[in-house]
Amino acid sequence: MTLSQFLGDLASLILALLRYNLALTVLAIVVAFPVASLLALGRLSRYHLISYPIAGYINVLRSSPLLMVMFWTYYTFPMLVGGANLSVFYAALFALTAFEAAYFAEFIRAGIQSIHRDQRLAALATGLKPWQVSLYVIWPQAIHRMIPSLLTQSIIAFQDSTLASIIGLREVAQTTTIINSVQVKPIWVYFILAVLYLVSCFTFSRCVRRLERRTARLLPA
Amino acid sequence: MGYELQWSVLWDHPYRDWILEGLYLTIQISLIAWICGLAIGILIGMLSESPRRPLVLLSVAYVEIFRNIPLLVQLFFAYFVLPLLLPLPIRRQLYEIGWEWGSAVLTLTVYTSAKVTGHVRSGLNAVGAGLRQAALSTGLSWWQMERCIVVPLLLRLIVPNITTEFLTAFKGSSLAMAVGVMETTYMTQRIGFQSFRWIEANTVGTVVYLLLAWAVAILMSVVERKVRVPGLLQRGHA
Repeated sequence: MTLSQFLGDLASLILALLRYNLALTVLAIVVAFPVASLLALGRLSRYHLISYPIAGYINVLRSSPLLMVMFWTYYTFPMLVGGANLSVFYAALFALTAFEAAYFAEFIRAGIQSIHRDQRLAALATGLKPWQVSLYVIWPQAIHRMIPSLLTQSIIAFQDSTLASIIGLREVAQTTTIINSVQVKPIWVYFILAVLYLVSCFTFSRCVRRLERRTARLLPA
Repeated sequence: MGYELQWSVLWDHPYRDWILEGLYLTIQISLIAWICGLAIGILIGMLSESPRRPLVLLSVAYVEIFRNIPLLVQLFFAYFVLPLLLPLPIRRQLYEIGWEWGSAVLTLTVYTSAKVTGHVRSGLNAVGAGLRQAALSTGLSWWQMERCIVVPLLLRLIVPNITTEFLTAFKGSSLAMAVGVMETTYMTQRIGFQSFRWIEANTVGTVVYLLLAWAVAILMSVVERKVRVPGLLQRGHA
């Protein structure tokens, strides 16, 4: 393998990683966060008519494999709405968003519940309205506590985005397989793929850990 | 809409057998990976108790490497690359026994063991220096302290995390279809392509994973209740 070949493969892998995997992950997180916040609020609701179906959604999504969810969004949902075709990218995005929203919702719920009840009572006693208490007192503290776990889950989402290759998206894992089938020298391409992920996820998870330590110091449980 | 649900299709020949075969493979792969992963993970995690720094670093590196590379990439590596690194006779042997299955089990085992190693390392932190000093001051040797105090406590502490990894193993086994193992997810897609009964096929696949998760949750909640350490750490704070 020549140097230019190596650089060419590296470039096409990085390109696929940014164009598909990173794009999928970022879009999924951006959409999943507000959805998950609503789900968490609904789950904590006093009305069973709201909280039970949401708990059901969260539990079903959390116990199914992401691959199964992708098959739902790619093959099955288009059929339900009358044969409309959904592109692979949007099917993968839809699946990843629905999947991560369920996980995020549980972290957000844990964050909200970690704020002691007395704070709510104290804030109510100062004359704030219930929604003001939630928005100005509980939420800012809860969000600080849950950010590390949300970011860790985002790293997992970035890794999970490779599953889109199975339903046929030409993201980084599939690009690797294509390069491999052209050159019949799999060791290098798969090695590059593994190293790309190892370096990016390791670096990011170290940053998250540092943030986690700082949060724990500033806001002890 | 124009789509009528026909659940009875799933019980027709050969779909029923496909579903059962898929279920069998899912349970088989996940169970092997979970049990072996548990054993290996605990062993490698215990290395970080060692006074020798290289061994500690080994257990740290093990966790970081296998946790930061996507499971699917690891699976491709095991399936496509690993046999090429081995001598020809062994390679032939691998392909003969069906390396799809072998690579799936290997990958999932290693992945599970890396996660378990991580839990063991944080469990060892949770056991705490005070307890160790107390154990040593009663006259126990280092080895006795590890064997009689630290390890039994550690194993009880990490049970909730082990439950999570059990569930993760079931979900992770679905990736094996990417290299052609005919487990539940593969079989449901096969039924979908063959019969165009996508909704029924995907529903049965989802329900299978739900039931497995339920079974694990029920089983492990009994175990968790039995082995809980009173007053030390509650679930979710480990």
